[in-house]
Formats: sequence, structure tokens, C-alpha cells
Amino acid sequence: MAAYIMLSTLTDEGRKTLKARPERLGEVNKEVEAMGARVVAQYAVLGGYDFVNVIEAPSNEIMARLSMDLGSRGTIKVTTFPAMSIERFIEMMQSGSGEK
Amino acid sequence: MSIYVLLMRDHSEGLKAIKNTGPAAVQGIVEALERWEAKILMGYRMLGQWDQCYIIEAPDNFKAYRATLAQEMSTTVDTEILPAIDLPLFERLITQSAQTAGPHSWQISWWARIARFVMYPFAYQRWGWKYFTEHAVHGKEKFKSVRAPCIIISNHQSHFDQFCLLKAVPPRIRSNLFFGAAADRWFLKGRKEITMQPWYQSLVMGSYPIQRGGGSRTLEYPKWLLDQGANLMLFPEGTRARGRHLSPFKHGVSILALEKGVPVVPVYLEGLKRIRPPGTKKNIPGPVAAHVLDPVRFAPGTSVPEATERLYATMKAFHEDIRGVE
Repeated sequence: MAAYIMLSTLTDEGRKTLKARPERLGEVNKEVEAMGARVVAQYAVLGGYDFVNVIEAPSNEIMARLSMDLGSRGTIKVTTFPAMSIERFIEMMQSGSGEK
Repeated sequence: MSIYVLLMRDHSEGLKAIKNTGPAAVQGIVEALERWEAKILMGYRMLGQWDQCYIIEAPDNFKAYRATLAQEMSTTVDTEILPAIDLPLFERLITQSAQTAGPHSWQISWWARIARFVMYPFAYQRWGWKYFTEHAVHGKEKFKSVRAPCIIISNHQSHFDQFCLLKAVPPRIRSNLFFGAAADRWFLKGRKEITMQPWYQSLVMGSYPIQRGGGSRTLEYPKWLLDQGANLMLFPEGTRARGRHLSPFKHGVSILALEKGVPVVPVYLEGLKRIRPPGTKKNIPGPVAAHVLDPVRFAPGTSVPEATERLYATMKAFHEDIRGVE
């Protein structure tokens, strides 16, 4: 499974939905898992984004579908970044596999 | 400790450092965070608008911010710090209103006292039976010279403090004892659990709300309780102590004791921090002790700062004795 960082921002509609039905937060996680991905960590944050999610998914295609599905509801805007753990990045740098 | 998300974008200098020094550049960032007492929970290298994402724990906003100014970071990356909240906590927060309820003056009525007496084993004793492997009480006889109404004060280490304290208080005082509790934590409207309802806190736990930073108005209800002959239990530190030291006392207890001419009984509680420290939800069974110290009576003309200083000095002397033993 590859890691992805998903930064999301609530739309006005999303804020209304969340206020009225806060349990939607947990339901979304179940939907993410139903699509074959897994939520590793999830935080509500202050700043330029409303939520930071660390998600594991089998492929970019699954993640693209997930981003599209979540964004299509009109409640959040998502930006998804492919990621790798820092440990793996360090290993990669040490092995020189990034060198050309 | 608070959680923060750090999003980082590499400068060209940062990319050069990674190219030239490899993992040492990343390690430099890790070390800079650790120097400011931040602990990395997760770290990711990303493709796209941001290059790195760290989820860290840090003591406060300032230290999280200060860590990003360390040379290893400020010269190699642009950083955005996002203070973060665990999602279950966030979900709980948005279901709560900021409105509080109480105080409920009916809590001193005869039927409320009977209800508290009946519920005492459920509300208080069961926690001690479950989590106090040893529950020692020293100096309980010092209450013999104390007539109601009185004020009991204690050091504040944990949510379990009052469960430990009550064993040290004789029934004649305990049966009419009321606890000051933070309104924004214990008296919020709209919570789902019965035990967190304001009426439950007033009726069963014998608590009344204290508005943090509420000024002299906060003391109106406890003054009324003392006028009715009720006893008070207060934590003059104001909140649970984070470190091993005794925090400075607030003046509320002294104002009440001087204005109403009532004695103050300091009770030093020991071992509670190990059972449930601030910031955790896990309870770890362990031994606890309540040490009743000599009651303090203030002479007429004592000023509020003098009274506060005397109470603090009494408790601090015992605190240092105990720490010396440890």
C-alpha cells in the first residue's frame, strides 16, 4: 500500500453538514475503507486547511477515484499528495537509488 | 502535549543539501524538532506542492514554532505549522455548545443530600476500590477541632483527587461538602453521557461550576453555600499541576475564608498523578495517600495576599518534605 497525504478544506455546505451531523466524520472513514484504502491518521487542523489525512491506498488510480468521490459531494475540497515515509526516503537516499 | 502538522517546502538550498549530504539533511530537521522537545509521530516525503509532512507532538505553540526557526530548518525549508486536533476530540467538541448550566442551589436541600448519600459508593468509592491499591489517610483526627462550615483545600494532580480526599473527611463534614469544578469542563450543556450532565454533577457529585477567570462574581455562589452552613472543597492551584512542582495559589480561598471567618483545612494528596496524569485517559492502579495538615485560622486583619501566602507555604513545606522522602 502506498501512502498519500490528503489536505482537505470544508466548503460552506460542508460546514453546515458537519455541524448538523458530526457523525459524518466517522462514516466517511468507512466509505474510504470500502474503496480499498485505509485511514492511517486524521486530524482537524487550524490554518489553511481544515483536515489533514494520512491515507494508505493500493494505487494512484484508487486514490484518484477516492479524491473524486469525496470532492463530488460538494462538502470538501481535497488536495492529495503521493507520499512515502521519511524512513523509506532516508533508506532510498542511503542506497543511492535516487542518483543519476 | 499538543499535536501539530508541519508542511514543508524545500528551498533550492534544501534540495542541494539533500543531494549533497543525503539523509543527514533530513536527520538535521529531526534533530532540530527534538531539541525543542517535539516528538515526531509520523513523517512523509511528498510529491506535489509540499515536499515533507511531519505530524509532531510539542509542548506548546511557541516551542513548535521555535523548532521551525532552528538553522537546519529555516535555511532549507519553508514551513507551515497547523495546530491539530484528534478527530474523535474534534467530533466531540462540535457536538458541544459553549453554554454552561448551574449552579443549582437545590443541591443543598435534604433530598439532594439523601441522593448523594445513596449514590456515594457508585459515584466515589468504586473508583477507589478499582484503582487505589492502597489508600492511606494520615491526620484525620485534625478535623476534630474543625466546626462546619469550613473550606478544605488540596493540591490538584488528577481527576481522581476528590475520590482520594473524601476518605480523609469525617462524615459530618462530608455529608454537606461541595466541590468547585471548572464550568467549561463539567457543566457544559448538551453532552450525551448522564454522568457528564450538569444536574448529575450538582446532585450526585456535589459539584458547583466555577467560571475560569470569572473574577469576584465566581465567589458569589460559594459565599452563599458557606452562609448556608455548607463546607467547600477547592483546589487553589486552579487546575491540575503539569509538573512535579506545586503551582502558585489563586486568592479565591483566602477571600472566602477571610470574609466568612471560616477555617481552612489543607489536605495533601499523594500518588494521584501516577494513576491518571493530566492529558491521559488511561487509569493505572497504584497506592495513594491523603495527609490532613493542621487547620489554618486567620486572625482578623490578615490581608488576602498574606492569607494566600500562608496557605501556600503550609502546603509547599509538606510537598517538599514528601518529595524529599521520594
